[in-house]
Amino acid sequence: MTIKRLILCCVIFSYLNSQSQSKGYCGVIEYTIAKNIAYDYKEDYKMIFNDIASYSEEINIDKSKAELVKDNVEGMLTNKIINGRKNETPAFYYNNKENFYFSEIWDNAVIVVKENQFDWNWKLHSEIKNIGNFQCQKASIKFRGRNYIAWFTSQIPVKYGPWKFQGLSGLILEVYDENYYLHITTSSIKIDESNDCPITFNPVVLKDAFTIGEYRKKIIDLAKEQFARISSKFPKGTPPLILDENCEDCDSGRIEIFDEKK
Amino acid sequence: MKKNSVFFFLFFFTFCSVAQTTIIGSVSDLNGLPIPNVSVVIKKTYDGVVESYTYTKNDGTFIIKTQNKNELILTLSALGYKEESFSIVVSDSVDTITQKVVMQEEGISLNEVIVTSEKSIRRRKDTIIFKASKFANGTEQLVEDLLKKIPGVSVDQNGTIKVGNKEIEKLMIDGDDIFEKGYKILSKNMPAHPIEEIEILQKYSNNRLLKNIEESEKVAINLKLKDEMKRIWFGNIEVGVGNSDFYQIKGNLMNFGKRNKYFFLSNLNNIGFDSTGDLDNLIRPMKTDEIDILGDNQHLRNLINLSPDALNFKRNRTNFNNSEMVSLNAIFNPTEKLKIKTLGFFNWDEKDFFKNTIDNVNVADVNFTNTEEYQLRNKKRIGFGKVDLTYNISKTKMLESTTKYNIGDFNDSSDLVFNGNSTTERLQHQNTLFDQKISYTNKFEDTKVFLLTGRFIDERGPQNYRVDQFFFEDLFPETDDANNVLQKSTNQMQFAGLNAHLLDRKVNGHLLELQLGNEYRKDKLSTAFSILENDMVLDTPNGYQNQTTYQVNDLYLKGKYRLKINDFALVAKMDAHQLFNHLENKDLSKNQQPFFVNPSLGADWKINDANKITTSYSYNTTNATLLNVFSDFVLTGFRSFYKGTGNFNQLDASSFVINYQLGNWSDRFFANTFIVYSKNHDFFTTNTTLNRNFSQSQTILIKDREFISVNSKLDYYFKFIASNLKLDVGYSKSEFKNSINNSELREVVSNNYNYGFELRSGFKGIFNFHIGTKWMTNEIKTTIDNSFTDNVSFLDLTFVFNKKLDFQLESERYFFGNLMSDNTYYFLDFDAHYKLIENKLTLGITGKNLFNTERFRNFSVSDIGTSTTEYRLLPRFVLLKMEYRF
Repeated sequence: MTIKRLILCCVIFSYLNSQSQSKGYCGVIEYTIAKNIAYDYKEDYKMIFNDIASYSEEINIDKSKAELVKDNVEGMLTNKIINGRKNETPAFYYNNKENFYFSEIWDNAVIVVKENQFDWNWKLHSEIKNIGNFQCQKASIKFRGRNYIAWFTSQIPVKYGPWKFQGLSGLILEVYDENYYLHITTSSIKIDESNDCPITFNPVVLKDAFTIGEYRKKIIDLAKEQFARISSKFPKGTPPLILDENCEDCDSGRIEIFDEKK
Repeated sequence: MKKNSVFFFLFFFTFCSVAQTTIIGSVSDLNGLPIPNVSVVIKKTYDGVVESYTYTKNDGTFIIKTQNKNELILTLSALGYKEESFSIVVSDSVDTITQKVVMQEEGISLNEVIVTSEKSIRRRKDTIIFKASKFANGTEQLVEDLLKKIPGVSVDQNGTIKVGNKEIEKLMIDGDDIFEKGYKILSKNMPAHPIEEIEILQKYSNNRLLKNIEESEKVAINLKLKDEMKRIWFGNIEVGVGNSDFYQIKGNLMNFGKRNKYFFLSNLNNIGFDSTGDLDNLIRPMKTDEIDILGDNQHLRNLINLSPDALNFKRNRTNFNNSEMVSLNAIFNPTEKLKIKTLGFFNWDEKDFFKNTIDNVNVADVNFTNTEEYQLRNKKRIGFGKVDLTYNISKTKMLESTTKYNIGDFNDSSDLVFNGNSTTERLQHQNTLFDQKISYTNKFEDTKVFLLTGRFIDERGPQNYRVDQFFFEDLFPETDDANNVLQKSTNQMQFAGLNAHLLDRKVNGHLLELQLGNEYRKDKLSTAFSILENDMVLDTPNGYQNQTTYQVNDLYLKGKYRLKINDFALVAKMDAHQLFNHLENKDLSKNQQPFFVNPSLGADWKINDANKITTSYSYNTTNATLLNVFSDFVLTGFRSFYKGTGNFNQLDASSFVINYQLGNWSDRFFANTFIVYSKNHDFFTTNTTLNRNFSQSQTILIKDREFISVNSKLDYYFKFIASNLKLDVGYSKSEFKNSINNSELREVVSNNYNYGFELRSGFKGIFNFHIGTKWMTNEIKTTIDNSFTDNVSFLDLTFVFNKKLDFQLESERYFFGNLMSDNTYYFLDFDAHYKLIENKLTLGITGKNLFNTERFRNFSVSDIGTSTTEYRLLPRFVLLKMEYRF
């Protein structure tokens, strides 16, 4: 709750501008993350990047509401459940080249997490395709249990990319895993010379960021809480939902598989 | 192994011996200041692909290595600077190349919108496929366990499988569906290891050709078996033994082959458990939003039913049974195009039911009290068989056939003491049903489907009813010596229907449906009532014998259009019926050809995420059924007669429904209000002659009655106690008119109020509780007013100690407002499970009625008086259970 307040109420405009000698620029791209884990859903992001950092913030949050079940109209009145997104605090990904932070929205909780260091050791391939007017080259990597393919363009020589992806010799415009559980596509690119590239972001929220270990514990706890809360709405005689914590690959229901079993 | 290591070593060695060339450099601008974050790449040609890359550090330096030889291109680029490329020559003799680069500033301006093409998600239209091996890790024994691990699929503790929040329609094996909605039998028993792939089918249609054309929100799951795993036997057995000879045995055995699949099921018990419960979903699958329902509402209605009362508490508390059931099912696929599905079961059951009633009748000039000690025994034997054939003529054409045959033999008897007279009722009856349905589907265009369905049903239910007392002296004064009565009846229904159905999904997504059809139904009822002295017939009184033939031919045209604009949807329906009625009562025959139109309009409006309104209005004309049109009295109980109008009737009614939903189910706050209002412009009621010993009712047709019901439910989750509060408030008012002893029409108004709350915890730990109470007030106003308030409360405790051990305790309290004494009842049940070997062997103990409450009294009011009824309950028992899976 406090974290949410911080983000919502006291947004401090911290202009993270170029301090080194290099020439200033300001890039803005919009991209869509399509997740297809049993259901299709989409999240839209706007990423601002300059010489110092990149910052992706969720946009069009209304649109990204998960509508799992629609209502039936056939004269009969049935109550169906729409388990949508209630918290409209945007999620973010923040990459200041030294550290990577992201936030996740869980019901009413906003969790800010400091990512572990990851060696973005991409394998380069010789395939080429065009995305818009950009010539892109294929690269691949295994990240948290899934094999991803990325398409980057040398025409925009920056390390950044959408979601958590980064570290190629040009901007990453498209990424997907071999099963298309995750598919990221860029929809617009805008870059100009500008020393005025405001990343409207309050670094205070990063101070209490969870580690990945803490984050994983936290989401299990939140899931338990959610299960218990849903159970409290059940009619008489229905046993409560129990989260199976010890399931060996609970993570397979998520995009990122943290403990990969060999 | 050794060879491999040698090889590896050699390879490694060679690898090392290929010298890497290191390129060291630095990048600065025209002022000599270092430029960081410049992309440095090595390519084979100027427009070649990137072979390796790095970025300059803060001091503008970079180091990049390459194993490539010959001429290479080194390209440096950064936003805001002009790209620089150099050709460098790398050879074995050069270890290090140094390159200093000066970059010139250059303006940048890019503004581009990328139109992305259709994504190539590996999701076939509305089907999601999961490789089982990706999710299975060897610990899952059952299909259910495997499904739990599929993202988006949840299985609750009852075994209900949901995809998202939607319960699945069916669980198929290699595309074959044996269990329909009764899929839990499969998911709870079949081992997981034979499964190769799991397919989640969304917007599922039971008729494959209606896919994407009918409006469907249905979801189904298909399990694909591994080839080598087909043809194995598996199943489970559960045995429960208790005190006082209480027992339960359940068993399942299955075998699934590529072509043939078999499934056996059995259940034997005397603990009040209805063994056909799981099978009901197989015999009469719930088809609420199905397209093809021709003849589904055609049933034979029995004149006499000797059956236990419906009570407002658990049915199995009063169900003294001894039930045995076996079921055999199979699926055969003799050719690619043909599928044969058979289902059969036998059920023997013996049920006892005990009650004592005191009826106080108090209407105007009639005033008496009757007492009844009633002991009912129902014996039944039922055999049921069903064969489904599906023949896929081509990709767009399909022929389906369903044949059902049911034979039931029932022997009901009751021993009752009526006002001190010991009486026996005996009802012997049969039910034979033959039902044949054939449908042809043709998808003649991508968005248009034509369905032709034909159905024939023949159902017969003869009844023999004998009462060994004569209570009708006042009706038949001349039969002094009479001491028993007998009624023999035959009741037969034949139905034949043909329906042509066109579904047209418009380009804009709107759906148009047109149906043209003809339904013919013929009912034949004959009843013969005789008054006897022992076995000698004394009289077969006039006015108590029926010979009725009722034929209804309904020619109809139905249209339906569904339109959706953003969050607003409208469904308009118009059904036109031309009826040809023919009625023969004994020698009198009549004809009638009424025509009517039934319109209806429904709207569904999602105002925003928190507010939703669904509403509908309909005007309905219905034709009278057999039980309204026969002309003479029939005996319907040991002391009651009833007769129809002897004429045709159509009844008109309008109804209006509105549902308002505030918030969403998963929110902390959620409220739903439901209002129904209906007006019967015409309705059937009775003129009843009431007498202490008998009653005689005659159907009469009356105008105008109303019904209104309002129900509100509210959920609120309290964070600080982690519990959910439910409030439930309801009110309904119904009115009707009837006549007693030829009086003026009396208006009977009944008001029902109910209000209650529940609090259920959502604790993360081992313990949870659920407590609740509900008051119900019933009020009946005629010439006199009667009312009472009952209360039901409960407290349930759940302990889930760990994955192996859980324990549930349920307690209930009933309070009856109008009983002077014995008005409060307590019940306590418990259930515990211990998984001795996960998914193999489970031990359990169940206890029911621990307070050993033997009798249960309740009170009710009606328009003619009040009655107090006492029911006998199954005594306390404890059952030890063991379940083994193989």
